[in-house]
Amino acid sequence: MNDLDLVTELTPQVPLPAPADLAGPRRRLTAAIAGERTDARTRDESGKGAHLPTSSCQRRTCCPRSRPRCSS
Amino acid sequence: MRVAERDAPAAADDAEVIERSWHEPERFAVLFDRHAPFIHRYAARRIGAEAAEDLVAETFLAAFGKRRQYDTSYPDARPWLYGIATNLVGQHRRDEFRQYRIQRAALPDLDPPGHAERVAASVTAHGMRRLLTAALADLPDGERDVLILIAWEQLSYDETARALGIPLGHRPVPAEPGQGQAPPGTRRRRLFRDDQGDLAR
Repeated sequence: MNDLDLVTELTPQVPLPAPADLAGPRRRLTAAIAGERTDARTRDESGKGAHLPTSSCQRRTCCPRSRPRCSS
Repeated sequence: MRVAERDAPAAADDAEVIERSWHEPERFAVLFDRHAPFIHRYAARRIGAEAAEDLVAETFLAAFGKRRQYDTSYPDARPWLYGIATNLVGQHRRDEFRQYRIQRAALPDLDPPGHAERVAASVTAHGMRRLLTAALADLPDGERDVLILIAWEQLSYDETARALGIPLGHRPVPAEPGQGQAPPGTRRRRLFRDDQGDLAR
């Protein structure tokens, strides 16, 4: 028996947790996921229809999304 | 067809799940369901059941936050999660040392003198366990992390190295005079296998 085996023998006998023990951490993760979803949606919505100032469009440096409007 | 598509993430490996979660964050919950029980048990072993729940939550929140940094060439994310959890254990050292005290106290006392045969039989095992528990508590943090991930959590050398961000080699960093000096800190953190395949540091 080597040292590693001895340390392995010391492994505390802890059972895998019941689902209820993980409910709290899962809720926190789900909230973080939902938060990111909301942030992404907010970013998307605030990005819609956003264009660089006309002067930028005229300099042809505006984003591709806004070009059709520039050309019209 | 649609059902198969919807079920696909459950069958996908961790790397695929993480990659999908870049654009569909809710996919990340699959990773939690797969690995949280093991991370919880690891946390409970190291810092006790009371603090384990928090550490699991912190581990998965941190993992979710840096999922875009995950190296998708590794299909199994558990070592990565162990690495995050291990870093967080560092913030719970007081809990960890309390656990070692509890573990030592839980070891039965040796038989009283007079039962010579029984004492002889048990002295090695019990004495060694007490000694080892104390030695484990006294190890430098990084070394204890390595030992526990391998001995308690059954991670391979490669997985442990990956979890802790330690370079894995097959020869020790030179330490003798004249063989060059290892950069400060690297000797303790270098993990290697010797000729017998035993863990060495």
